[in-house]
Amino acid sequence: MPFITGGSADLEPSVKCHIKKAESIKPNDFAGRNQHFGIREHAMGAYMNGMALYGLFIPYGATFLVFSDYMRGAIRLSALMGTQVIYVFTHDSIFLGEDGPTHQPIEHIGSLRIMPNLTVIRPADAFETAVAWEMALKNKTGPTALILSRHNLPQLHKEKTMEAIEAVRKGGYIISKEEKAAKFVLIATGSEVSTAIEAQEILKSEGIDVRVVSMPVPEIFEKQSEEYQKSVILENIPIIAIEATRTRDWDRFVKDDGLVIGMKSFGHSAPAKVLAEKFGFTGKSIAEKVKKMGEN
Amino acid sequence: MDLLSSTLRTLSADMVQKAKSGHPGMPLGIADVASVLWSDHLSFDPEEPNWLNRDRFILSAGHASPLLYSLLHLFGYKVSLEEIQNYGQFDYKTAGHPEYGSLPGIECTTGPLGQGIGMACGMALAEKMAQARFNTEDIKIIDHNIFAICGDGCIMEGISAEASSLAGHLKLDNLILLYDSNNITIEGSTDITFSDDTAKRYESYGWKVYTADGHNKEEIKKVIEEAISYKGAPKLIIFKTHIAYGTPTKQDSASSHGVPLGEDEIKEMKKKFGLPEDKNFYIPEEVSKFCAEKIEAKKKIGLKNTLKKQKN
Repeated sequence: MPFITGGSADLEPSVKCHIKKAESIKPNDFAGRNQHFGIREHAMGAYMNGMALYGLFIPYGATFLVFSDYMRGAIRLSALMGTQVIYVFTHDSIFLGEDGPTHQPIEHIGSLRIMPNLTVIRPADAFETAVAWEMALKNKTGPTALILSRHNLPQLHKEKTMEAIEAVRKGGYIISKEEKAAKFVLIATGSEVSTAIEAQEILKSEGIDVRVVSMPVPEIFEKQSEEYQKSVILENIPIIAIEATRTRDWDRFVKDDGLVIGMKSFGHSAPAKVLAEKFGFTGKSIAEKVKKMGEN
Repeated sequence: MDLLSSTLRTLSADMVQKAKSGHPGMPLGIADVASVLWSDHLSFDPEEPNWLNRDRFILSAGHASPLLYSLLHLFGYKVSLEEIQNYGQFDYKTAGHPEYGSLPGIECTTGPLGQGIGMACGMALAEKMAQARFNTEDIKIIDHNIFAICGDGCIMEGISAEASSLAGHLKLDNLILLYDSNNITIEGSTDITFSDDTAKRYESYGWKVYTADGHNKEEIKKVIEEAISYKGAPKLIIFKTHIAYGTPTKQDSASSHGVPLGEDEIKEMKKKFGLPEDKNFYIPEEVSKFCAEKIEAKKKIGLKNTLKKQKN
C-alpha cells in the first residue's frame, strides 16, 4: 500500500514499525516511506495530522503507550478533525517489566478510550492485530490507536476464517467457549486474553466451566445488537473483567456479583513474570479468584 | 490594499464586539501582513478549495479566527456575510476557533497554540513526498508553498521546538512561517516570561530567518518574495507588529488580546481609517472590487487553468 507512511519517535528497534523494502525519508530525499521523527512524540502527532490533511497519505506513528501523554494535544486534534491517523502504542502494560513505573502505562488505555472519535483497539494475538490494522485502514473518519504488548503472545486463532475476522470486527466475541454451561464469563483484552484462557483450563480441570470473551474494542461491542451482546456476555452469571490497567472501564459490564481484575498502583520495576505473580495476572491467580467467587 | 487591511480590522472588531467574546487584538495586528499575503502571494481558487496544488494557509494562532473568516469571505470562499455576523453562535460555522471541515478554506483546526506549526510542517513534508512521487524534471504537478501565521504563544509552546527542529533537519523549504511578534500575551508584556532570541533559536534549527516591519506593506511584500525564492531551508519571517493596531487607546495593550474592544474604541478606529463609524460589518465597494480582481488573477493559475493546459 504505497500511500502508507510512518515511523516512530526513535524507537524503531523496540516498536518494530519499519516498512520493509521501503527507503527512509531524509533531507533532500523524500521518495521513501519510512519516517524518523526523532525523540519528538508531540511533533510526530502534529506531523501526522498535517500529512493526513494534505490528502495523499495515511500516516502512522509508533511509540510506547506511556508516551501517548506527550502527544495527547495532537491526538485530540486528530479526533476532533476526524483525520485518518494511526497511532501505534506498544509496551502497553506493566509487563514491559524492568523499566518500571515511569514507563508502565496504567491509566492510558482508559484515558484514550474516553476520547470521542478515537478508536482504541487492544488485540490479543497476531490474528487480532492483523484485523485491527484492517479496521484502522478502513476507518477514514477518525484516528485509530493500536494498543500492543511488548512481550510475545501465543497465537490464539488456530483457524483464520472469515467468521473469525467478522468476530473481531464486532469489538468483542467468544474466543474460548465453555464446555457445557458456563458458570462465569471472563472478559479480557490484549495480553490478558491468553492468561484468561489459561485460567479457563485450570478451572476446567477442577470442574468449573467458564467462557472467555476477547474484547479488543468495548465501544464497538456496545454498538452491536442487544441480542448479540447478550449472546456473548451471558446474563445472570457473574462477569469477571481482566485488564492490566485502571479498571473503571469495566464497571459497565461487571455487575455486583462480578469482579474486575486490574491495576490500582503505578506498577513496579521487575521482570514481567514476577510482576504477573505479584499483581495477580497469572492463569492460576485468576482461577483461584474465580473459584473463591464460586464458593461464596 | 490599505482599505483591505482596514476592512479586515473593522470586520474582525465588529465580529468580536457583537459576539461579546473573542480575540480582536491579533487580527488588527497582523491584518497588513495577511492582506499582502492573500492579495499578492497566496495561490488558491475559492471555487476549488480542494485543489491539490493550492498554497496552504494555516492560522496557527487560531484565536485570530475573525481575521481568517473575513479573509475567506472577502476572497470569494463560500462564507456568507451572515456567517461573519454570527461569529461564535450555535447555528453558525464561524466558531471561536477555526474548525476543519466546517467551512471551505480552513485547512486544519487550530486554537491549541503551536499545533498549527506542527501541522504545517507535516503538510510541507507531505508535499515534498508528493513531489518526489509525481513531479518530473520538466513537469512540476505539485509545486506550492505552506504558509502559517503564528504568534508569541505558538513560539513559546514546546511543540514549536520539536516540529521546527525536525523541519529544519529535513530542509522543508516549501514552508514559510509568519510570526506575529507583538510582545504581548494575556498577562502583559512578553518581558515577564520570554527572553529567548527567537531568530537565533530558529537559525540554530537550520531555518532561514528574516525580520520585517509588519505594518509596512512594501517591506512585507519584499520579504515574503525573498522568502519564497530562498531554497534549502524552511523560512521564518519575524514581523514586528502592534497588537490592536489602529485603535486609539488599546494598541500595544494586553487587554486587547482576548476581550472585545468596546464600541467607542471601534468607532474611533473606523474614523481613523476613513470608514463610516456608524456602520457595522461594512465592506467598501472598492475592497470588493479589489478582491474580485485578485481572485480572477489567481484563477488564471488555478485548477481549471492547469487542467486546460494539460488537455492542450
